[in-house]
Amino acid sequence: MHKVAIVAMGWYGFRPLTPEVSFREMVFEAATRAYAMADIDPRKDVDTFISCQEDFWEGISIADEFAPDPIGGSMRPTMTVSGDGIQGIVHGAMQILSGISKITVVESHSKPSDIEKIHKIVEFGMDPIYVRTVKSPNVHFLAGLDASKFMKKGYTREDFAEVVRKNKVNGLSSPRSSYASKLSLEDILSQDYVVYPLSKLDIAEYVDGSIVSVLASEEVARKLTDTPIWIDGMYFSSDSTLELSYLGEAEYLTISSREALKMAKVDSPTKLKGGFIDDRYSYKELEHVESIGLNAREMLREGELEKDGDFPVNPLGGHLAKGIPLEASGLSLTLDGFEYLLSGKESAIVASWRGIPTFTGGVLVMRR
Amino acid sequence: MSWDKGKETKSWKDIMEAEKYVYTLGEAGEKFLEGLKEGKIYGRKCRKCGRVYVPPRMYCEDCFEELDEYVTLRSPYIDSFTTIYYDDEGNKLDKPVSIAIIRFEGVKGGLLAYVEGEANQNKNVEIISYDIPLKVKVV
Repeated sequence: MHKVAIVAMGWYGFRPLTPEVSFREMVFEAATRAYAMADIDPRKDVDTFISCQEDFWEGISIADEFAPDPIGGSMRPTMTVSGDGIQGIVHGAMQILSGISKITVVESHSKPSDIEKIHKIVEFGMDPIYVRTVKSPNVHFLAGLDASKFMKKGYTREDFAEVVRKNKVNGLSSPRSSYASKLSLEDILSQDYVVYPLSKLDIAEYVDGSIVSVLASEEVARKLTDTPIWIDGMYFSSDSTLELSYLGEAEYLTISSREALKMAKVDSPTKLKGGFIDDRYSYKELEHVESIGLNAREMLREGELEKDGDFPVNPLGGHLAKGIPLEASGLSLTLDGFEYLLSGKESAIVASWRGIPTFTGGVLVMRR
Repeated sequence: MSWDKGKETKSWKDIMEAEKYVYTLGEAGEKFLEGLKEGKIYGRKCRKCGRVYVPPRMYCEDCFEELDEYVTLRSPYIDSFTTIYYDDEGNKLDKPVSIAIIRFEGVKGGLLAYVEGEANQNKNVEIISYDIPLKVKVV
């Protein structure tokens, strides 16, 4: 079977506010950096472009009309994915593996600082008759319901605080981590609940950012770089709606990881050297680690998920340190994994989620 | 639309009219609302696999078959709950509110409800207001 690799990634922003650039300029900045790293000209060398975005985040309906030009895709084959960046990576890889393209660019971005009431946009994503009508004072109640159910498996508030401490301190080693800090467990546990069982520190903040990744076929990747990062396995899936999905579990990642690991011929995630796993809520990191087939509680309590543990999870901080760049969230985790592998590590799993109110997630198995 | 005329012009402000929609309930949704008026919770059964769905829907997501008879659901219980202390703007609520997802034995799906009393998982509840959302009381 042919292979596909990520040969370059560029990013811009990862700050709570980016008043100096419009979202299109921010994408252009990230694209320029990605193309410089890959040493390619997007107007000549790229076969297809993919942009992952959602109209309501942009404040523009049919926002895909704005997708091509900031990534060099004007008058060129460009498609949009209204979903997470990992879904875009999978689409891009399929284009390469099917022979349609030799180089495909996948972009996603976020500018939540442009959205005055972002919780209203999140609310807009809920079923208008059975869920939105609840008119909850706080949209995170959906995570509260899930976290509360998850705790019944034997997890405690202290476990969630441990994830917050770990990821916020890990983020100090990444230039993208606007929300990194060194906190004690006492600092974290002293916070009021916002929605039970989560405090403000258990909930990742939003962040402005753009990421552009360059995918290439095996033959082209080997010409472009000495260190292609191979995507050995990939998958994304959706559970059902809120009422029909199982709370306290992440079925979307159970399915995605099972299929991605099978594709990568990896029989257990512990054979990999680390995980970049959605942690937009502290408990979600643990739920997601369980969903990919590991005993999260035991591994957390024995320090195996630490940066220097047997299976580091979010060693560069994850969303709790970097923030949530909306549909670029999966690419943010992929970028962390990409840098991790470029630094010499052998392999990693990336597991992303689209956030409330969705039950969609995707997985990549990456190898140096 | 407006823009701030000054040295620090950095943004363009606009308000989009996006809040007024009419959402069609559909056949199953209408029946569900009729049930609420009658003080009943209707689910709908798949003839092929026997699953009962709530809220009732037109088709079975597993069999992809059109659903059949409506059934009245009984014995609601709390599957999970949360209590909200701060609103979306960071303001502390005068009185925390609890929201739960209510399920019915042997039924696929659930309904959101505000809870009176001390919420806890697997507690049986009594429906005290048949509305969207429901109001329930822990029994």
